[in-house]
Amino acid sequence: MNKKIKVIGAGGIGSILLSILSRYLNYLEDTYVLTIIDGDTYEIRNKERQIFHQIGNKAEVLAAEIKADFPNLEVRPRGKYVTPDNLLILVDEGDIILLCVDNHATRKAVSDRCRELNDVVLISGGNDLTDGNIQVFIRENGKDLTLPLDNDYHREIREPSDRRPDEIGCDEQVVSEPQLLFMNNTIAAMMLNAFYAYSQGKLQYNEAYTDIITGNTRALERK
Amino acid sequence: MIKVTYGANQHEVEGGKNIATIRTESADILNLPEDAQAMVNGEEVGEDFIPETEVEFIKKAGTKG
Repeated sequence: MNKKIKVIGAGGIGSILLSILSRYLNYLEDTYVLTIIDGDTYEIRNKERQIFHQIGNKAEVLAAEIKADFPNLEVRPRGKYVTPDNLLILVDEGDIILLCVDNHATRKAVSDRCRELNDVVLISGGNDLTDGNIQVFIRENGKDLTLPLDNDYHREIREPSDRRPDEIGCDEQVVSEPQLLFMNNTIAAMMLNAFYAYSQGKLQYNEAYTDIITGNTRALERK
Repeated sequence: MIKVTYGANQHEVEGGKNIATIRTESADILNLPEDAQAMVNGEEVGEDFIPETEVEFIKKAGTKG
């Protein structure tokens, strides 16, 4: 199994996911390198949904906290937003990517980068207020084993109406949709479940939806 | 009966109905938006199409994170 895990986005989903993933990786026999990538900054207002103990760049703050808790785990912060240019360096052969971002433009950029690689695993999650989904894109030996994120079922990712954070000017007002901590937690858990199933060679789906109001979850194999 | 799916949720409607009718009958039950694309066996179908066993209205990926 690949030993390079990169978490892109350390906000509502990513900060929860990292708290569990880092503990899990620390106690495995194999040695993993965990890279955290995010250009955003933790602010006091993020405390409502996000796990951190100091103000600062999200990747750097979480990496420092994880290193303090798990000194045997190699953690590398990258305090920048991903762009099509830096993805050439940040996402590489053999990576397992856990994509926890808040816009479809970045999802497309990362999926496009993965399509250029021979061997890569991309697990992406996103939520609205009370529902959400995860997608799993796997390439092995230069072939798609599952569909990329911007497949025929997800044209909102193929032609995103939003923009990456690096494309938004500092003076532009970004209106955030309300989010629910429980929903972030559910998507983080679903992403980790998919990661575990993949790591055991037993993953049987490439997309899963969940709705915390109805209590339903549906996993499926898109083709 | 026809299995109707949207995101994590599904229900059943009687057979012999076209997509437009199924969409109307499922709107409240599945919280189905008007613009959700209908697909059968991975292929897009129009409002006049009559599915035989199932139809999925495609739910967009979650945006936030």
